[in-house]
Amino acid sequence: MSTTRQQQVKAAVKWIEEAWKAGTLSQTGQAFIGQLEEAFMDRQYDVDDVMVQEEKVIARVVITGKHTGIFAGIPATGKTVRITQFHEFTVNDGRIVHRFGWYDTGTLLPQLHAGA
Amino acid sequence: MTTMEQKNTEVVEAFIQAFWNSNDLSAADTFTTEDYRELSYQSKEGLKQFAAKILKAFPDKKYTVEEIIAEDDKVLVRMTVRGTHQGVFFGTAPTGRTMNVTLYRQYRLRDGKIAEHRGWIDMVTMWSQIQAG
Repeated sequence: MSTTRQQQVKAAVKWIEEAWKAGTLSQTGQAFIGQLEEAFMDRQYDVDDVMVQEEKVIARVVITGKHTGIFAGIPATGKTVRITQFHEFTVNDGRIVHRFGWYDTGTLLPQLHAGA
Repeated sequence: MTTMEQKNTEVVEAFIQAFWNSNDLSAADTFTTEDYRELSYQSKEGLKQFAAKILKAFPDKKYTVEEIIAEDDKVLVRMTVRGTHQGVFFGTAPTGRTMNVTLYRQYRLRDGKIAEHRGWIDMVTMWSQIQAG
């Protein structure tokens, strides 16, 4: 039996939840990850959007956190920020493979700079 | 994949080629709807100004589509942009260093035209590549 779109979305959301609980959702391979993990506290995540095309699934996750340590040369601002992640999967025959994870920083930096 | 999703994918690929690789800024008008919503660069004009700015800073810039998926009216694309820093970029003098940065762009289409765009790019990695050393 083929996997329905709903099952694919569920599998991706479950993978993200498990990775979050295991503390591995941040492991995207980007060089700044260690610093990011230390710079943002009280982190929570939300799955904002999931797109499916055949066996390909891409989820957009938003992590909120408080900026309490130095990140990209910017000292703690105490601001609560929204950080976007993308996660790409292949889901078929009930099997999920995580193919790619990535943090956006282009929408993060302006939040740290904005206002006073 | 529906015919519309297939067509939308082709429109986005053609737009990326024309606008971001062939530097045809008029593609921001010809590929888009009258009521186009630009969620990352404020407006069509803002989009063109950003493209002109990045072309000056990285004259050999090249975008490569790494992944693209379409569902309903949406097309999501992951790309890499590579280029040599040969002009001023947001106040930073040219360093001659190369960038190789990942970005995502999400488009919504209506009747074969782009009606909305929103983008994400890893600026921290980009700055570290052009400033390091």
